[in-house]
Amino acid sequence: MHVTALRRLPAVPARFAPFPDALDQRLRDALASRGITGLYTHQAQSISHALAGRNVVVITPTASGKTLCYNAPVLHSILQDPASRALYLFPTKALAQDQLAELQTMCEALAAPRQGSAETGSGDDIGVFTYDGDTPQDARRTIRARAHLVLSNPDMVHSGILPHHPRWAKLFENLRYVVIDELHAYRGVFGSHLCNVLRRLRRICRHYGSNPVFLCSSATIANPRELAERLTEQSFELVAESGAPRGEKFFVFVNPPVVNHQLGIRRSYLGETRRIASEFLKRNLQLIVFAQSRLSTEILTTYLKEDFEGQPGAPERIRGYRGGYLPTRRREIEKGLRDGAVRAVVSTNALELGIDIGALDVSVMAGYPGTIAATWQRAGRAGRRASRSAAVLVASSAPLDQFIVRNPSYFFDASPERALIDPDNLHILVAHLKCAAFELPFATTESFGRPDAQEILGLLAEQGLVHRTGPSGDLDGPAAEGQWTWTSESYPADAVSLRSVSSDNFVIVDTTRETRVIGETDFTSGPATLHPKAIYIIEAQLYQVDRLDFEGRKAFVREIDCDYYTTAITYTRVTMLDTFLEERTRAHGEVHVVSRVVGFKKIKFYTNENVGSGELDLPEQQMHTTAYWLTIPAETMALLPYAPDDRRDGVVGLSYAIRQVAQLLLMCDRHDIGISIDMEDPTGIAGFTGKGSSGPSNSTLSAASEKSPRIFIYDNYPGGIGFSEPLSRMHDELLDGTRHLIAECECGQGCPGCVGPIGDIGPLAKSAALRILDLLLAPQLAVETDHAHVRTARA
Amino acid sequence: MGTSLADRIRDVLQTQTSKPAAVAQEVAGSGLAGDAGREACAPGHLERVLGGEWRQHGGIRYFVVESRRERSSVHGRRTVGALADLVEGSLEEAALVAGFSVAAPLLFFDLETTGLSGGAGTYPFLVGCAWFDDEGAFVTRQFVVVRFSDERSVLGAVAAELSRAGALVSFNGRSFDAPLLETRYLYHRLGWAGATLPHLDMLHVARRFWKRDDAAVESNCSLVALEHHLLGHRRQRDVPSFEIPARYFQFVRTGDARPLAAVFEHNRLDLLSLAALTGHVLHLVRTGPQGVRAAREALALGVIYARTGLEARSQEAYQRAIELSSAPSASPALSVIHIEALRALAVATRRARRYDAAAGYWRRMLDVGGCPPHVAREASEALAIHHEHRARDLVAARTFALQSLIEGSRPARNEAVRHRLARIERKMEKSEVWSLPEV
Repeated sequence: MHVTALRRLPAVPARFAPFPDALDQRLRDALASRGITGLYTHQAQSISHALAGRNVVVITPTASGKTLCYNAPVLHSILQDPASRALYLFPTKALAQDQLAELQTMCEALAAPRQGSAETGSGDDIGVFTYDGDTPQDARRTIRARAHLVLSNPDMVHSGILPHHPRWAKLFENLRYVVIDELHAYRGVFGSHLCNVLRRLRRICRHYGSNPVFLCSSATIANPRELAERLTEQSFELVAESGAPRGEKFFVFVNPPVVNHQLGIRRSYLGETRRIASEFLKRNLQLIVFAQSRLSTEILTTYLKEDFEGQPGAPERIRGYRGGYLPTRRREIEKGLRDGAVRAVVSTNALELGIDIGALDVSVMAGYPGTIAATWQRAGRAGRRASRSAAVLVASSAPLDQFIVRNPSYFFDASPERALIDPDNLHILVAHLKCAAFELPFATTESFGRPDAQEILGLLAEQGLVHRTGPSGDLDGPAAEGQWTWTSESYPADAVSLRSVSSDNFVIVDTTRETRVIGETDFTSGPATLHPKAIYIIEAQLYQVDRLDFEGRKAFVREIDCDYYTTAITYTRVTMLDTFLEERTRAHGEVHVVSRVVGFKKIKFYTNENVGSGELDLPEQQMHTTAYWLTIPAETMALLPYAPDDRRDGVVGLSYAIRQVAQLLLMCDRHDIGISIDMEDPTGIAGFTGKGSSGPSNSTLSAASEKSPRIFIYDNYPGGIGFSEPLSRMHDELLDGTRHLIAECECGQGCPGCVGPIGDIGPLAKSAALRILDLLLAPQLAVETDHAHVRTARA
Repeated sequence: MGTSLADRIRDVLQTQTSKPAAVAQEVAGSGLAGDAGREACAPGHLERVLGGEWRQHGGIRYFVVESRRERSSVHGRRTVGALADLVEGSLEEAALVAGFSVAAPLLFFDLETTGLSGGAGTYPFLVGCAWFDDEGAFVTRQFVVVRFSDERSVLGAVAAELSRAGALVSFNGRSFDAPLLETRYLYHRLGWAGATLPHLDMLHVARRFWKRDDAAVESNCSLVALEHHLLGHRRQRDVPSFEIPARYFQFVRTGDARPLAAVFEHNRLDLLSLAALTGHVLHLVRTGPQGVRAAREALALGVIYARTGLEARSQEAYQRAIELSSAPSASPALSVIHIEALRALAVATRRARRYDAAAGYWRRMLDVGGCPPHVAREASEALAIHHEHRARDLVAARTFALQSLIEGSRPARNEAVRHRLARIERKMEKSEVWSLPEV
């Protein structure tokens, strides 16, 4: 075993604070009856802010009692005024269910009669209900009438509550608090949508005369206050210091040893995870193992069951846990973890969020979770209060994993990621503006987001979706100002999915037996994942695509048993439309992206061998989006002591590595960004040329060497999602990080962990890429000598 | 490349597939498009085109179109006067049909809306109310939202209208019109005037009488279909329902009310046919089973009578249903009615402790060809119980129990039957022991 880092995080004692004076005595009594006689400092601060009507976001490590931060002010407001209402938003239905149980317990404690008190509790009158897609139709009316606390999710609010706001008039008239749990989950597309949903929510609240206070909780991210303020467009108080106690914790990074130095192949990280988990299990420690996918969850569960499961029929000590399990099975596993009957659970990120599973001893992560924030969150699943605990990160051979385990200080000492959103993405904004116009007429003076709402409404009117009336043409009407009214039969919320930019998607149709739809994929990633002969995986079952009906947006698949999966080869051409900023080698702006899937590779499971390929002819996809780009000046290219082909390999290798680091810095998923190289390419191998106007490549070798190649990292969503501007700001970190990733890789001439697998790139790619980075970083080093942490480039 | 906000929004809108408003073409055929602007601006345009007037009442102002069909005018097979007599004189029958008590006067109501999807962006622009007046004429009063800012006034006027009513009668109003209207009252923070009124939804009633299992509900139980087949009225040049929102939107945009005229006529016809349908049903209920010609109608009467405890009339109606569905070559749909009527009688007679009669009906059900398995199972089980406990014929009881086991599908149910079988067999053994010849 290869331990690359071992850190000890010392125990931290609890810091307490008294209950805020303003807090309702009945609530204090109820808390006392449950053994809560004091508050942690962060709870007291959050509650004080909330009671004073200030929006607050609290940063909470796992198990620090965050729910009390918002439940206390909410219940207080209802005890003070039974007409008060609160709306809770959770990113998943499961979390809402989990909270429902907790809140009901609190309300029971409030309802319990107390000795020596003439007052009767009023908790039995407090209605707490979940309201989501699973709520039966006939229960909905009751809930609307009786719920003081509505536990829901953004999707339901968007399509089921806001468009029907008159039925929720009681809620909106009396809405005192909006609770947003797991705030950090709302980044990228989802967050951009949520911001617009909240714009609509606040419009409706204004109509009914309420002005709710927002209470948010977030895992540790770099910009919680900024995210909260961006999402709600309100100012916030930040409570960042947790007063909860923490036991001593050890954090270990493990890198499986290299077994083939030449190809940079390491021992399987799943096997390594199995060995490590077994060691802990033998010592009778209770643990959680996080896997990266549903498939690896099932594989690891199988391994550990083989090693540790007792007699058939005996209680199961090793369990799997992931989305797709039925709720009853999940509850059973959660209970088993709390009472100790289950000794190990292997889970996807499903258990990363705040489901209550009690205190565990060890958290083992099979693969880097992708973000610093998520890694801390998963590590926090072990060692809840005062006990000693451990967290182990086992790196896979993915570049991101390798970067992290080789640069532990990046993880331990750097700030976690920033969560970015772009609520003014026109695709998203216009869709929600329609929903808003459906919900309430727009005044001719009203705005909605940053782009000019009136101009958008004017264009919607051209389409007949809204109609403008008054003030001038409406002589005898009472309306003092003009307004835009929805004049369409459609129900616009149905056309918007909060989890993607456009609602256009491909459905996957299984034709093995009777024809049935088994899944869907957004339009952008459709061709790359559903091309003919692609292997599509869902719940560990493999399907092969027989036919892709591009126009009908359907992929017909059949079950198949095979030992490989496929990855698409996509050619992408980026054309610059508008440059917002250009400074030396960095720039960002608006671009046009044309991509086409031209072929695919078959990759064997576990060994990742390339076992075949095929060509494809699929339609082009086009989009306008935003991009960051790095320009490698022609002079820099000219300084490289390599042949043109090797220089080109260097740029390709550099782009492979820089993509990984960009993903790391942006706290985004792999498919959130795309990469493209603009380079005159005499061989025609590396792809399209970048300048739309330059036409087919006809340059000579010498012309190629005069050109300045560009590497584009674009937002893989129409309209962009706000990554390019921050990425351009992080330009230096990006280059520096990329250099670390490549320079510290132990491989000889390139591997999947740095510049890409040998075979895809030439033998000199790694050294050429490094030389390019050295040259790019060198002039800056001269300027920024005071930055001690920046390593000097080796000559 | 032009990337002004407007261009970019247009690009975005293009990808967000919204149907272009096809209003212009739809109504263009009527030759209205050309002089729309001139005509719409002319004073008295609304009054002239729709035949209504602005009214002022209690500080609110609204446009209303009132019209009257005299006693003598004919709608389908009946005169308005005959319908008035049927409706006004049959409050008791109305209560039977509704299942709750119904007070006079009956107010027929029907909305025309900007869509079917519901939600805050769907609203009624026309609230049609109608009743029979003292002289037996049919009066309709249609309230119109001329401008969006009128809606509150219109709702106020409608509330005043509803406050005079003893009960509401609608077609699909319980699921659509009333909730939608309620939403608008809530939106304006007004009390929903219909909350305390009894509401008789004739769609549910019509389904009971005329829904055919072999056809889609919509096609044979729509108001227009019933109007044609049942009431004998055939509409001429009616506006298709799907065109109605677009016509209103066109009016809103241009101020030209001419596309709306046909919508108002459509709404008046719907109201009159609703009243005629109500009269027809009340007539059937009053006349009783001997007045009906179809088995399903007799069955519906049986259910309606049974619900209010009119056992004798109910059983008479079921008998009539059996009679009307007993043709030797009955269609599958007719057999279903036949079996339903037998089952209703079996249950009713068993409840009245006439066990032998009940057993007779259960047995007849089993004799009908194509009796669905779950019904056959119920009948066999009832017969097994009857023979075990009442007739004390253990052999027959065992036979029927075995039959119900074969027909049964759910494991839990089969378990219960096995339990029954075991008990019957134990009893049979005992009786065998007793009947051993004495030595």
